[in-house]
Amino acid sequence: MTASRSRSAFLSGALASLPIIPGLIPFAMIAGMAALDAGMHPLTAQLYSMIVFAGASQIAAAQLIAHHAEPLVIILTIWIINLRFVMYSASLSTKLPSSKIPKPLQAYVMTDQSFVICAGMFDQNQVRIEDRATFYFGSSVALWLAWQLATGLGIVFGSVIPASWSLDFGVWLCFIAIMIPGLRDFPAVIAALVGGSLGLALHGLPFNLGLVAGSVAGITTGYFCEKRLAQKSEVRP
Amino acid sequence: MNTTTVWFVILAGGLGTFLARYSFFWLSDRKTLPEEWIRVLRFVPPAVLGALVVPGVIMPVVEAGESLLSPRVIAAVIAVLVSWKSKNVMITFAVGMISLWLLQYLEGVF
Repeated sequence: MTASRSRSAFLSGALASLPIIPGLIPFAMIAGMAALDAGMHPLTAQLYSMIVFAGASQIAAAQLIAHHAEPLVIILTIWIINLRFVMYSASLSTKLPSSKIPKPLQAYVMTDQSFVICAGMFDQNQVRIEDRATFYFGSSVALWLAWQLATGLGIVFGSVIPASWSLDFGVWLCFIAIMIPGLRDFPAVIAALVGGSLGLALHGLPFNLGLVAGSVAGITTGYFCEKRLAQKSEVRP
Repeated sequence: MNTTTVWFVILAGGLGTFLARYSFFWLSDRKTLPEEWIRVLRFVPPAVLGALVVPGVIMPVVEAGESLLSPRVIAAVIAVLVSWKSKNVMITFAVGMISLWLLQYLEGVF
């Protein structure tokens, strides 16, 4: 690929991420503020955001640190929340051709948002196959930059924002906006409903087990629901 | 929690997160993916995000002793409906936030 082709694919990817960034800013600021609330040094808080680079888990873990939870419980919580990246990794690995960008670097910048943007556009053939890796990288790097800058803003200015703005609610809005469009069929809806209701019912369990139990139950129910539907449609003539 | 423990959590959490992201990029260089795996993994995002969002929205309301018809819950339901119809992150975020502010304002008035 020529340098200018490559540059334009990178820029188109970055442009495709732009509409997502306004929603990301309060989310990242809250992640920065939560890390400070957990007692981290401002520099540690920024490095935390760069090392983990996964907002929901950053916030959940920071809250657990603030509540003096067991370190292993906190680590397990981060892993469970981020298990969904395995799914994105599986899907993207079939969509991205090999490229000059190292695979570990492509993996590191992966987010819910860049996955949703790129998988959607690739499925509709809006990006040429040979441009896809660069496009994905451009989209992800733009989100990475916005995320890190906004985390920094949260660390520096977070204490100035009045609580009455309820910016923390933006976190849940981001997740709703990512989750709902993915509920494309009945088994996926069932997985979300079972995960959500069990997660709520078991919220009081120690070690954040409600999240684990809800997730596992949701995945299992969705899987068997789909199997059942497939069997039914096979039986019918 | 002391600094060493915090760093242990950050590094272990970060490593696991990276391995999840890298998993199939690494595997697919070597062999094809077992289809049954993909079938299971497809349900990870809805199940995990559901198990995060539902308690995340409802628990603060319950802990504050408010009714379930609080601004947060109603604004979240509105956001779900808007997302379902529009599939657009920015619209969902804007409508959700504005609904919450309006509902909180109305709650203060009445």
